[in-house]
Amino acid sequence: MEWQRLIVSYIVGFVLLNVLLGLMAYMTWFERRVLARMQHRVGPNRTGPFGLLQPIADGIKLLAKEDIVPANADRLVFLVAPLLSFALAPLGAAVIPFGDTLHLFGIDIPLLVADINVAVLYVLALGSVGVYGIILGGYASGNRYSLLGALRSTAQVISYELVLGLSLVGVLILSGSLSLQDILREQQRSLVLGPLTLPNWYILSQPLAFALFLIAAVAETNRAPFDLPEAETELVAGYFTEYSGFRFSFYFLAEYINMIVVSLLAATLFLGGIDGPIADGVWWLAIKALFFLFFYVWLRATLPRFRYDQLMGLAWKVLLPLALLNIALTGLVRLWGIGAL
Amino acid sequence: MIDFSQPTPVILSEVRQISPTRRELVLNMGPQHPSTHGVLRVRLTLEGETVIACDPVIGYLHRGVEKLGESHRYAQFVPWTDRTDYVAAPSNNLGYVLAVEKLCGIQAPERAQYWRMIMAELTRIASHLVWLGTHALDIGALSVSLYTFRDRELILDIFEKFCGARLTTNMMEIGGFSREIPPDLPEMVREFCRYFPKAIRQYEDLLTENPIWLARTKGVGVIEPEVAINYGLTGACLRGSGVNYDVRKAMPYLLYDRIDFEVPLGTHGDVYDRYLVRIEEMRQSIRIIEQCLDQVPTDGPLMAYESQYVIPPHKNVMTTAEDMQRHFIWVIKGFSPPKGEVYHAVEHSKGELGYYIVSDGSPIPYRLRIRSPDFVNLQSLPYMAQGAMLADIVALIGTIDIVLGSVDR
Amino acid sequence: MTVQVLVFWLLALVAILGALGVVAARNPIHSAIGLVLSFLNVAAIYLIARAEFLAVVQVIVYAGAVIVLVVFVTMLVHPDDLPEFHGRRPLRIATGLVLGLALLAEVSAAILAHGLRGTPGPWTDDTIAAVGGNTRALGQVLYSDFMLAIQLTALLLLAATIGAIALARPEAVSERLAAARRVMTISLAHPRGLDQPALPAALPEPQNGRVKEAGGGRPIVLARTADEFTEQPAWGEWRAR
Repeated sequence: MEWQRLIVSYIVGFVLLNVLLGLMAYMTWFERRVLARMQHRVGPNRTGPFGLLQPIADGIKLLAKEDIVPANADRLVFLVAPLLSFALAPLGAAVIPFGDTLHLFGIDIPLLVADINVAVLYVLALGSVGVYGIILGGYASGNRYSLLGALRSTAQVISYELVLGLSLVGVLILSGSLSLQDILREQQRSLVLGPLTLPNWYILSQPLAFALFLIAAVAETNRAPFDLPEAETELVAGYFTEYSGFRFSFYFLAEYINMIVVSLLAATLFLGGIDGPIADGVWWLAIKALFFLFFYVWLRATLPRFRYDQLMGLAWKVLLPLALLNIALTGLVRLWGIGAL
Repeated sequence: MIDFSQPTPVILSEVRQISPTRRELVLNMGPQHPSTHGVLRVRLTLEGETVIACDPVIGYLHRGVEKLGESHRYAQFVPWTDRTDYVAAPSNNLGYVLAVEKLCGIQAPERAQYWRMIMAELTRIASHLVWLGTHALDIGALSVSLYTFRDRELILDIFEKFCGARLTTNMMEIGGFSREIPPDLPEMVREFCRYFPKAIRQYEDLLTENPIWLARTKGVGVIEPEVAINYGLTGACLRGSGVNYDVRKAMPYLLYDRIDFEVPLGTHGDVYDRYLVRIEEMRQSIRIIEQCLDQVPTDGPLMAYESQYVIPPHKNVMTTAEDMQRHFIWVIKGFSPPKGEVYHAVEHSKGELGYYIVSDGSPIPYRLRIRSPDFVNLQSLPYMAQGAMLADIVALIGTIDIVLGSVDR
Repeated sequence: MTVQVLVFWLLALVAILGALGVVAARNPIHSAIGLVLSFLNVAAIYLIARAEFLAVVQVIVYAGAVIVLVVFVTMLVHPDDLPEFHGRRPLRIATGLVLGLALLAEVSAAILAHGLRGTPGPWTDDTIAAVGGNTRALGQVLYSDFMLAIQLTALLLLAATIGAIALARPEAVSERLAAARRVMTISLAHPRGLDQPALPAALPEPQNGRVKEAGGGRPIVLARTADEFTEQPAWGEWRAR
């Protein structure tokens, strides 16, 4: 039975990985189309209907490009760093529940790859290791723009990782578990507020944490307005200035996978994941995640970029105290709720 | 008052006053860099992300335009002025033809002067739109640049209607305009004037109250008014610091003294003030254009006539022997202005654009010198950059509003 | 069980290779990479021992924060300023050898005293399951039995943070810059050269001009004629506000 579970897990993981890679390719299409619409442009529309074949054309183009290693690069690290970034990105999706257990051919197929009881911490750990792809790539390029990009990125990811983690503590206090499945189960209850009966989604009970999580997640994925590590108007392309061909696209794709994973996570943690008003299922998760992805693109179209010191100031002087406040308040409410006060 | 009779000590200080430490990082920004607006190269000395020294290196687009002017006949040089500040070509044309007209002692007819003003103000708006778009793009606001370029297209359409070209217009001629104004052009310009205030509101909605935009521009790149005067800044860089100097008001040319408009002055001298000043300048330009359209005569001559210095009207060339001969000489030999020297400045979108011409009585200028505003304004970059963050550098380059074709000439 | 043992040996091997790489690499960044590799494998070993919380924390804290900071600092520091790692300094080698041997002796003594399996504590699989999992059990122990230690550690870290901030206070770059700026201002307008003219206490009221709130809490001044604000710039008064 152990073996059977393992094999089912592998199969689900394999399917999920492929779906994720396909989604990521179409995320680039989605972003370009939405961004174009927001900017009075058309966006890619020549390759296939509505430009739907554009990601494939891009992929072929990038594969066919020369893979250049600069003369003064740290060769081995330079070659490995983008792989590290790309390989770590989809792992976060492994703990996100996509639905209830499926019964097929007499086998129970849980619609998530791994039900880890420290799932939230696992995602945070992935985020903190993921920075190595950026920092090593920036260091190994032997370019000062890359180095500055890597330095910015390191400082940014460490700071916002902290905010991200602390913003989740409120949710963890309420749910009493680090497992995403448990958190999801807690959210499927209903929240009775006088005459109103609402779903127990944590966005309602933890609005501050949700806002903090959203801000920190945008910063963690290096997206506008926190895209300083790759700020093209300052650092040319930041840590991947020297990369070309498919190694460049590894960084690029890792960013998009991270966006998708973070969106799924946000939907699961705060919006009840697969829970919906009618017909619970994976489509609700997709709709919620799509909303976050749209939000990402929207931000990019609207906001200017922060400056490095302002970014750090925001994390340490505004978001961190707010996160601590949120923890304290949630803790007090929780203690009061169980009658300890 | 400045007493120039007193000897003024000029202290040649080095840009870099800080003793080098090992923590410094020299970063070479440009000439190929996304936000140096062409081929500006800036050599930055950084300590962490703080700029210790900033050293602009120019000349990558130097084509010797001034020297070219000294080997072309007077009328032949007009297209070259297009290629100095190529985002505001009509204003460059205007500065040059006004200088030549001053040298020759001729004046364009009233109707031509009004249309020159309309075109110059449209140019100011077009140039400010390019500035706003690229400046916002440098600071990271992606969409503004596309909106501004969308609206700039309308102005370029007007230029195209008027003279057939969109970018390097070669629009102004010595003595006025030799071709008739297209009949539907006034309505086209009016239509633009009706539309454009809405567009400005759109940009302002995206930027003016945006907290990130405020954080990135307020208090950044402050130039005190005394310093601005000392550096010889003009245009929005000077007025952003609150110094009231606008060539249109101080030394009115064309018919600007008949127009009711206001000169916006900043109160803090930072990047944000220069942004506000330029936005307000666009509004004032619309005001000027509307007044010009109201005042301009619908018919009448467009070209100064009875002069050896201007090209004779086409109809007369075809029908009269005198004008045919004058046309032949004008085209083949060029005209010879009187001996003397002349300086004429116009309020270009970037500041005071002056043309200094020395004539030795031959058809070719003895000396031609362009005082391009952004060349002078660029000097203030090291001053503003000291102690700024790396990310501020792009904001500072943007706020000066340089076009390298004009800086390097 | 055999698979587990096999995986354990594999992980242990990579962890040790990583640790060797830390010592052997000439480039400090490569050393850091070796250390991360070692830490990650140790985390995986924790997983085998069913200490998933510890494993994840190991990754977050050591791989994700500590070594990232090490790499950060290494990248900031000029290569020439880094200490010499591979010079032949007999004293250093001797010290390292003695310390290493001491550590080996300690670990050996511990193993000899308690055996490879160690002495089982109060927590067994059953008691952990009764509490509700490893993470919960760890939390309970840490915040009850070891409360004092936790508080002391927190205090120590706080002191270290304050100390680091105090030590790393930027040596007044801005002051040096301010000095440089003053020298840089070449004043042709003032006979004394460098003096900045003092701003007047009050400015004349705008004559024809007006003040407009332009947005962002900023006024701009609209001058109608060229001789307004010419005695003094419009700047000073509004700066004072």
